[in-house]
Parts: sequence; structure tokens; C-alpha cells
Amino acid sequence: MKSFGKSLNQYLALIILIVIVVVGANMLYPGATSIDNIYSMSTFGVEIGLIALGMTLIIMAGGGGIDLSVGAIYALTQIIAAYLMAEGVNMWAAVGIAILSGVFMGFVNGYMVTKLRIPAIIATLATMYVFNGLALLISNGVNIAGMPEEFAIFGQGVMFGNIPFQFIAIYLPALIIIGYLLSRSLFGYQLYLTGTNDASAKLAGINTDRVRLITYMLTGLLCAIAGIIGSSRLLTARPDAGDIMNLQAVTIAVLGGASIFGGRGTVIGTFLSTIVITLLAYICNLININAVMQTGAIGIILIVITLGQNNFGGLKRLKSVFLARKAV
Amino acid sequence: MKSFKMLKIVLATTVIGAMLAGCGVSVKKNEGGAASPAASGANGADKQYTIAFVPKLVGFPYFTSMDKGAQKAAKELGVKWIYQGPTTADVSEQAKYVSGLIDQKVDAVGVAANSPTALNQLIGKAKGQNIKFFTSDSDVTNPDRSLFVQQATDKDLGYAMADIIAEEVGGEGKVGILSAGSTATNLNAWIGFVKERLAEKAPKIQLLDTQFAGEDINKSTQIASQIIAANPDIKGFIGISAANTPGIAEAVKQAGKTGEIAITGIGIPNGVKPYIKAGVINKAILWDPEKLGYLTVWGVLQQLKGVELQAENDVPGIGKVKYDAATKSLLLGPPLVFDKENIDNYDF
Amino acid sequence: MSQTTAATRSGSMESLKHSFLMKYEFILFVLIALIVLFLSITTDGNFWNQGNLSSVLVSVSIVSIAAVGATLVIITSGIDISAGSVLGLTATVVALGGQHGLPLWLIIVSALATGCIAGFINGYLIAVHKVPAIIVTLGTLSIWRSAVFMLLGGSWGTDIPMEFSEWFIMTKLAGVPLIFWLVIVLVLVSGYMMNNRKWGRYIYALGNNEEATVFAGLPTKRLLVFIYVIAGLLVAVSALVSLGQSPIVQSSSGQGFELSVIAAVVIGGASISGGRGSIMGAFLGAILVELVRNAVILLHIQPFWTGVVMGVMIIIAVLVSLSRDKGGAN
Repeated sequence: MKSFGKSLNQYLALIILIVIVVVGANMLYPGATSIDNIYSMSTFGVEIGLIALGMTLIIMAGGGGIDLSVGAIYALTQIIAAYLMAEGVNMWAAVGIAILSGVFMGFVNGYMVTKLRIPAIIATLATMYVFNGLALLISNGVNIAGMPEEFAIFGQGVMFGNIPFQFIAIYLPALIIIGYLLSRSLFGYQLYLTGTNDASAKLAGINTDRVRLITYMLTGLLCAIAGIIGSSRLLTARPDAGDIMNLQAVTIAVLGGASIFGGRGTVIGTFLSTIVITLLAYICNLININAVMQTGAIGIILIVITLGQNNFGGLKRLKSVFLARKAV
Repeated sequence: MKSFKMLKIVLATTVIGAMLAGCGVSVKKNEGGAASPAASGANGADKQYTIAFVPKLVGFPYFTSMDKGAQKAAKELGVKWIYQGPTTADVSEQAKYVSGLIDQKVDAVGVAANSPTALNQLIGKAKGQNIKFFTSDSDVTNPDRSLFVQQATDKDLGYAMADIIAEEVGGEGKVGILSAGSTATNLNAWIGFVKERLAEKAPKIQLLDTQFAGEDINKSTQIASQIIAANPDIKGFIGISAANTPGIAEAVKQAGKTGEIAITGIGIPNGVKPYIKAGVINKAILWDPEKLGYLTVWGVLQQLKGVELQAENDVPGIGKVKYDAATKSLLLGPPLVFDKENIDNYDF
Repeated sequence: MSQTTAATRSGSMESLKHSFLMKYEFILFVLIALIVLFLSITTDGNFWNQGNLSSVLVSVSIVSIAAVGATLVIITSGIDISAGSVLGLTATVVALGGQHGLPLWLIIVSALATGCIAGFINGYLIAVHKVPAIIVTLGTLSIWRSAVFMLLGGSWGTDIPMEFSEWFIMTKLAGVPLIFWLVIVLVLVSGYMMNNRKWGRYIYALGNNEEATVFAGLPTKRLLVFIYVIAGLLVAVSALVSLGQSPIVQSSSGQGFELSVIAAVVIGGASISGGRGSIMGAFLGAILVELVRNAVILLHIQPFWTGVVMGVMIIIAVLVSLSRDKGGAN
């Protein structure tokens, strides 16, 4: 399939990037990518990795899909969990409720986009404001701590020696499940079609609205899980968490090959670009480069990669223009 | 394609199998073994220690000054100094830096904490690797931190601001408070002491609800303007963080109420200089962040060398510095008050 | 003032619906009047206090100026989330100019040039290389923020010429800061030009059906680039006014500004999918947004409610604007 070929190019580009970063880092700082350091990196990378997975699905489903409220959901769900635990609710119940609330928030987003036909940028911009506001209101603007000790397991637990719990038990399974969903299940097939060509998908009998709604709900779920991990890692829930995650998630998804025009994107691609971004961040800290420079560099990389991607996109549009002309 | 499928199946089985096998998940307990000091006397004399510090955020002149002072100390005392931090006062970002520094096996890592509790796990991790964890400017609530270098006690700062405002408004009237973030440890502590002092010494003063403007001067101006309008009889205003005070001053100036509303608070000299000269602010408070940075390096170094801190210490270039063993905190000294007379002596 | 195509296609029944009373902008205007009335009563007239009115109107001005450009961009179904970083960059350029003692006119020219160049880069990538607007502006948002950081180097920019404050804010006509009057003129003039000048209609056409405009032989690419340049220029102007309100630059200056602007444009009735939007609407939207912020402070409401109210307002605005679209365009 042609698209697989394009994906392979994308993977290659990302892997080369990773290799360059790793080699360069080790030259500047021997031992930069020691196994302990990698464990450290993965501790931080899992949260944004999960969120980026959700964002990838939303973007792939096309129709201008995007979710600017992911950071806010991340914050609100952790506040809900922490608040409940502080009120004495059983930890598992609190976590469960928080995760369900995340799914509900995703549902709200999806409903606005599909049923109310509000453009995704605006709908999720609005919910971002609302969810952030709710997080501040519930927590009264302060961090909430005081969770039971067992809660630390999500963000601080280790398995098989020192491998971080969230990486092995949450992120990897998530990658596998979503990867399977995309490439082997009916839903994945419907998702690709919906993103590639909305109209033909509908003609083929696919309920495109339902497909998109599910992507938003899945994202809500992933953000909630990330929120639990994040607040467990610090044993503190913060209402102002996740501010930078919105744009970071979009960057990672697009860097990983998800096309804003819909229909393209893979779990592997997003996984690879998550590695790139997390690695870069860690390495920059090691060699003392300010995070802002790194953000700027990522901005440049983003534009360059999309420019490259777009050689295909531009050709496609040109083709459709000629076809339309013929029809007239 | 087939190979991918195989890979996925293998991965899936491993993971699920592991989880089913009653996985040995545990929260990493950082047993630090014997609480051994980094190095004792003679051995430590030749070693060059690496001290790392993560401020609340970088790009903020106050912390930039701390860095400057610390670099001076590092040069004079033969220490390697690392200064890096997030661009927003976000504790999760701060944690990433701290974690990375611990991985780099520095001798001591410290923070100006964005949150009193969120760094506990990392403090444990540092302890487990015999790395000293210290705080400067803003503390954490964790007995394992080896040292807290404080500019002035929270009480002294809060009381100083309260006293200045009480005096300037004549002991009664409405006073507003503008702070940066609702979650910041030190800022909240100061607000607490301001309230305590005013309740005791100037009970007729009516404090308005604290508002928040972030470390954002422009926002401070906007919010302050509107608070002044909402309370036309307001007599005074306190800026809790260095970004709030100049913002409030600009608001008062634009409202044409210079001299009618007393302003004080934490102020970075260059930020408040024009306002002090124009008489919009009479007195602003700070301390010398450069000296704080210097003291931080000095204090941590003593601990690394195994030298015990005395109740009163002689620090080169600073003078006598008090140490409180109970709270493990070094105190720089009383707050510095800027006014028309001395503001020109400072340039940062 | 908005749907030109609908107006030309409709018959007399439709034109009745589109009459002034049903116009979305009028609804906004009434809403604003009601809120102002409400605030005047509940705050014992404090709302009209010199300082408060000034602060609100200046904030409205800052957002509105950038919103004019943002409306054009959004009408062409683009978006610009780099506005905040461009504002920060412009302010930094001014601070640097002040620090080096450059003459005022040079500082102003440099500032405006910064906005134009930033806008040009956006427009070029979007129009010529067809990179989606969200990606380009996401990228430039990060790049310019990096630049601000590097240029300021960890301190605040304090050498801001006082003239901005004097001209825009301290100069008052009928008790209202001069800048607000200037903004009203800007809004009226650009609104007029959008509806009654040919390239105004071209812009709407671009948003409605880009391919058709290409066939019609319009200089689509040039028009798009031009729009982004204008947007950048206007953000630079906003930056100058903002420096008048608060004569100091931080490395975080401008962060989040683009959200306020987009909120104003959307509440003002523009459609993110392009083809519809009015500058007057964006202006009224900006007023509405600032009124809400002001109300929260004046009425001593917990500041955390601002976000929730803002989000709900955006949703309601879009729903209203969508429903009237369904009703009218048939």
C-alpha cells in the first residue's frame, strides 16, 4: 500500500533523528543514555506519550479534528481523584471515578464536534477554559496532596528491577492495544476511511460521527490515565498542570506522521516521535541547554517535516483541482 | 508485516504474563543505607564538588541574580555550579530537571520549590544515592532536605510588609493584596504573616480578598486597576511577588492616584526604580539575591565537606550569618528596604 | 455586515430576516448594554470609575486591534496561534531599541517591521507551501518565544519609551483613552472595506471556496500572504499599546494572547471553517470578553470562575451563530 511506503519513510526519518540525538548526546556527555537515564526519561515521557496517542487518533479521523483541552482534562481528572481521596474515598474507587470522568469529558468534546457541529478548535478551546476553571474551583487554586501511600504505585512504582511501572504496565499495553485497534479492527479501518474521505466513508455506510466521537472519548480516557500517573509521580495533584501538553501533544502527533488532513498516522510513528521529543528534552537538560531553545528547535523541525510531508499533499490537491475542472 | 505481528504477540504475551504472575510491583523505597556524609575532612579537601540548583523558573531577574552570586561563590570556593530550570513555575517541569541532575550524580541538588510536597519522591531518590538535597528561597516540607537557605524568615518579610503598609495608610482603611500563584509555598507563607501582623497591630485595616496575577506584570496592572475601581476608597496595596509590585504601581499611576494609595511589597530594584523615584512607591522590600546565591553555595559546600554549621557563621563577603539547627536553615539576614535614598545603589 | 453571498442570493423574505434587528452583532450589542447596565447598578457606579473604564477599554483595544487581523485570517479558514509570541517579540524589540537609545521613530518602525516579517513567514509557508496554518503557527509560536528568551537573557526589558503610555492611554477624549476611539475608527473603516471593496469580497470568497477563486484568476496566494502580513502588523500595534499599559517586558509577555483574540473573534460570530466573520463582531466579542473579566473582579467573585464563564460564552456564541446560519442561508 502506498501509505505504508510513506509511513516507512516517516519511521526512517524519525529513527535517524533518534540515532543522531543519541549519538550526539553521548559524544557531548558520555553515559547520557545509560539504562538508568532511560528509565528516568520514560518516567516522564509516558504521560505525554499517552496523550499524544489520543491526539493522533483525533487528528487521523480528519474533519479538522484536534483537541486543545487535553492538558485541562489531565489536570481536572487528577484533581477529582485527589479530592475524592482526601475526602476519604477508597483509592481504587477514586481513580475509577476520575477515569470515567475523563471519558465523559472526552464525550462532551466529541458531542460538540459531531452532533452540534462546532468546529473542533473552538469546541476544545472552550472546554479547555471550562475544565481548567473547574479544576481551579474544586481545588480552590491550591495543590492537593495527602493521597494514600499506595497511590504512588502508578507514577513511582517499578517492576522487574527498575523499569518504571507506568511504562511497562500502562504505556506499552496502550501502544499495543491502540496499534491493534488501528490496524486490525473494524474500528481502525473505519477510522482510516473516515479520515481519508469523509463523504465516501459515509456512502460506504460508516457512521463517521460515531467514529470521531469515540476518538474523543478514547483521548479523554488516555488523558485521565496520564493525569493519575502524573499526580502519583509527584504525590500531588495540581489544578494548573498540563498547560504545555496541548501543543506538545499536537507536535508529537504530527511529527509522528499524523496528517492534519486526516487519514494518515500510526501508533509506531507517534511512539517514535514521543521518544524523539522526550530524548531531546532530557538531553538538553543534561548539556544545559535551556528548554525554550529546545521548544524553538522543535518548532523548526515541525515545519520542516510537514514541508517534506507536503510534497505528497500538494500533489494530491493539484490532482483534485484538475479533476474538478473536468467535471465542470 | 508478519514480523510486526509476531513482535506484537510476543510483547503482549510477555506483558500480560508478567502482570498475571502477581507482578512484583513495588514502589521504589529509597533506603539510603547508613546516613553517611559525603566525605569527611581530609578526603574532601581536594575534591571539586558539583552543586546544582533548579530555581522556580529561569528568565526571572531575581533568580538570574541568585545565579550570578552563586557563580561568584563557585569561582572563589572552587565549586562547580549548575543552574538550570523550567521556563514556567511548574513543579512537574522542575521535577524533570531535578531527576536529570540526580541521574548525573551531582554532589548536591537544590531547588526553590514550586510546591512543598511534590518533590518528595525525588528527595528520597537523592538520599538513596547519597546526594544532598537542599532548598533555597522557597522550602519543601520534608525532613530529609539537608539545608534551607533563607533570605529572611517568612515572618520577618510578612511583618515588614505589614508594618510598612500599616504605617503608610495610617492604621486603617482598605488594603488589597496581589499575589502571583495560588499554589506557591513562600508567597502563601508571607501572606499568612502579613495577615497575622495586621490583625495584631492594625486591626482597623480591612484586607480585601487576595487576587492572583501570575508572575505577570501586565496582568498585575490590569487586575490592580480593576480592584482599585471596585474599591474606590482603597488606601493601600501589597504586591507579594516581585512581578506584582511594579504592575500595581503602574495601575495606581495610570489611575492618577499616586500618593493616595500606598504601595509596598517585594520588589526587584530595576522594576520598581521608576516608581520609587516618582513617588508612587515609597518603600519596597527585597533582600540581596546575589548574596543569597553566594550563601547557598557556601552553605551547601560546608555540608558536603562535613563541616558543621555553627549558630553564627562568618561567611566571606557577607558577614555574620545565623544558622538554626532545629530547622536546618541558614538565614541571610533581615529584609532589605529600598527607598528613594538607596535605590540607585542597586542594578538588577 | 457578514454573509455577503447570502445577502446577494436572498429574496425579500430573507432580507427581512437579515434586517438589523436579527443581526448577530445587534444581539451582541444588546448583551453588552445589558451587562453594562447590570454592572453599573451592582457596583454602585464603580464600573464607570475613571481607572476601571480606562483599564477595560485599553484591554479591549489591545485585543481588538489584533482581532481585526485574526478575523481576516479566520475568514480564509486559517488560524494564527503565534500571535502571543509575536507580541512578545515585538515588545522585546522595543525594549532592546530603548536600551540602545534608538530614536523613537526607529523603534516604532522596527516594531512594526517585526510584526510584518513574522506575518510574512506565516503567510508564505501557508499560502505558497501549503503547510496547514495550525502547524505553521504552532511552529512559529515556539520559534519566536525562543527568540524572546534569547534576546531578553533572563532579565526584564525596562527601557520602554514612555510615549506609548502618553499617547494611547493618558490622552483622553471625553474621558476615554484615545486608543479606544482609534480602534473604533479602525473597526468601522476595515468593516466597511471588507463589505464594500472588491478585495474584501475576495477574502470572503477565499474562505468559502478557495479553488473557485483560483479559477476566477484571483491572485489567491498573494492575497493570503497579504492577510497574514496584516495580521502580524496589527499584532505589533497591539504590542505597542500593551507597552503603553504596562511599560515592561518579560520573557513570558504575550503568552496566551492568541487565545483571547480567537475567543473574541469566535464570540463575534466568525466561523472557524471560513467564509464568515465580521470585524465589528470581533470588536464586540472583545468587549464582551473583557466585561466578563472585569465583572468577576468588580463583583468580588472568585477569580477561578473566569475560565468557566469564558468557555461557556464561546460555546453559546458558536451555537447561536450556527443556528442562525441554518435558518438564514436556506
